[in-house]
Amino acid sequence: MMRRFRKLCERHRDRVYTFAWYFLGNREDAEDVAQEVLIRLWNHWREVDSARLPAWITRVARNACLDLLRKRKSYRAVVSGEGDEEALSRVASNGPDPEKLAEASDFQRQLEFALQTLPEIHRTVVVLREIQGLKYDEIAESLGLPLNTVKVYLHRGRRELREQLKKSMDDE
Amino acid sequence: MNRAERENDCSWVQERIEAHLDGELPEMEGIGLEKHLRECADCSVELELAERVRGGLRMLPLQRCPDPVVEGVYERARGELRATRRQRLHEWLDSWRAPLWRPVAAALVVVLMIGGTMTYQDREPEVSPAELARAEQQVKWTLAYLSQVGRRTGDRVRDDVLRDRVVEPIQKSINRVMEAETM
Repeated sequence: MMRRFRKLCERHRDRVYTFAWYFLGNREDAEDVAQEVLIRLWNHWREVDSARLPAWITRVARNACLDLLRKRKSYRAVVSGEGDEEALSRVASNGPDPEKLAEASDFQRQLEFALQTLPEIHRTVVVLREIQGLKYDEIAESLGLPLNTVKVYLHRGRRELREQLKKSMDDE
Repeated sequence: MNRAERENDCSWVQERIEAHLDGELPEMEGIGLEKHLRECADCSVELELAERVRGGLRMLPLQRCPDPVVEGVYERARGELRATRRQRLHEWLDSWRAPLWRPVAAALVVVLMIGGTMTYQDREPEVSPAELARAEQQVKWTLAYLSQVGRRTGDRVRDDVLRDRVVEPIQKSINRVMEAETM
């Protein structure tokens, strides 16, 4: 049993970690999420149809990232005494400020920073499609969205990245 | 907006640049967009940036999940597996223990009794002559006692039952008959 689970882990560990890395924008959070997702995989891998496992893992990884952001949001709200909406707006952007973005040394680093400024669902689709190379139908299944909606979110996400990069170039 | 107007509208073009890059525009829209791009420097720059963004995203490296993260998961999985196996073993033992101990104990008692009986049946009694003499004496006393009890019981039956209830009433009846005949 352990050997089969190890095989599954080896197959999916980098996929989960890469998603969390680009979604959350930092290593520590990505490690926490990856560990949590692999533990959930351990708890459920016998119940999940192997053909649907990649989509299941992607969905669980995204939910784990969102849970982490929610926890962070409530923690910030408690610590700073902010109201819910204030805290929410801060976490919604959850990325670097424009100054930090402009300071990024190379284009790919700027892209990584800019990713954090996208709305959550656009960021998810961009990471899955452009960085992880998933097919549209795989993304649609993972997120429970129609295929055309996935394409729309992808194009919007890339367009927003373009706008963000232009802004940072103008700042430079 | 007609076709000619669309082809001159930068915002219409820029909204479709991503779909154009992915080859997902309808043919006629694609032709119009390319015509506009050839004539519009701003939109050409925009297309160039869009290509750069898409290319840059695709060049971002996949990240290797650190080994300690996975090892932590394996360790936890192994611990849970051990605990589950222990629990299953306990449950299995419990399922056997409860209904079985009574019949097993009963069977053991029966086996011991049969075994013990067979052992003592086969063995010659080891009795000393003195014990034998004492036992004979006890048997004699017992028989004598029983004989005495029997004699006393017989006397009582004779005196209390036969004499009072049988002999005397018959004798009285005969006497009455005799007296009547002689009168």
